[in-house]
Amino acid sequence: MGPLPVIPTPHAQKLREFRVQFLPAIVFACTLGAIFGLWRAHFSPPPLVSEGDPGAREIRALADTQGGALTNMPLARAKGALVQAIRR
Amino acid sequence: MTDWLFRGDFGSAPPNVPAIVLGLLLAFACGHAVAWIYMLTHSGLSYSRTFVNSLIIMPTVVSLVMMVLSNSLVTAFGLMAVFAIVRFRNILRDTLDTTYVLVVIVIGMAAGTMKFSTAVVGCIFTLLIMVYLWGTQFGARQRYDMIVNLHWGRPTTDLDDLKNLLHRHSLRSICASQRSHEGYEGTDLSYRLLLRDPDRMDQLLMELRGLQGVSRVTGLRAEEESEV
Repeated sequence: MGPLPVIPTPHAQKLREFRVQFLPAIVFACTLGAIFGLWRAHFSPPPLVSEGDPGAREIRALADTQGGALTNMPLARAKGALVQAIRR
Repeated sequence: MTDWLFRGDFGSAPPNVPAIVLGLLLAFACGHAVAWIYMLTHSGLSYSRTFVNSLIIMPTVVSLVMMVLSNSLVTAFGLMAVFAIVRFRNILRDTLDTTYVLVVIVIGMAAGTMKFSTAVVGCIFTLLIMVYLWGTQFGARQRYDMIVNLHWGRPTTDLDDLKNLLHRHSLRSICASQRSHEGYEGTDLSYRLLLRDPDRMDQLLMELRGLQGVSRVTGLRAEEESEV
């Protein structure tokens, strides 16, 4: 017996087969594309990586125990530090 | 125009909508890949379609959980307490049911901690995934519309005639069982068919009954819910 002609497949059935067989792969590929695009657009690595040195300094000064004020503080040696001047 | 959505988080940290979307997409893609590998490599009788679906949803939900928690120990304890209360009086036998419960708890927590943007985006995202899994019947490994049992009275070398007829009506046919006994003439066959047109099942049965060597034909329609 020769090959029989196949019966036609309705559109609804074709759509169902498309949803079941191909849609997951399409959705997965689109998701990967969206991830790639978002990552590149918003989370690209910084072009420059540097390391900061806080430059710690030790400053010693005499304390006036009665008034609570620093006296004889050697600010000249702390050049470039955040504390530039101390006023009473 | 979309500021009302993108600036709708009033939690301790400002929202980063691209980061939220990227996190959810990444979790979905990784879960999808894991689910495919699970489907490919699983062996045994314990296969469950709903478990495969939960493998996809769960990473997304966990990602949403971590966004809502955002290093808040109090919120984390709240999540555990709510989930324990729900779980205490309900026996959730299905993994997907547990996932759904976790989804609603997390969305409620996001709304309760004033992370409104996260709640809206997370809710839409998880709903889309659920609809996608339902629409694609994701996780179904053995898809068929019909089971046909028949007795084949001719030699098995003549089965090509039968396969030819099955090919005419079905996109895919799998011989599920083939049984023959000593002193028993013929062979009992059982086929699982994915039909080209499920509405023409009766025509297939009629043509099968008319095929030489075929007798005792029975057809059984298989529903989608037959695979758990």
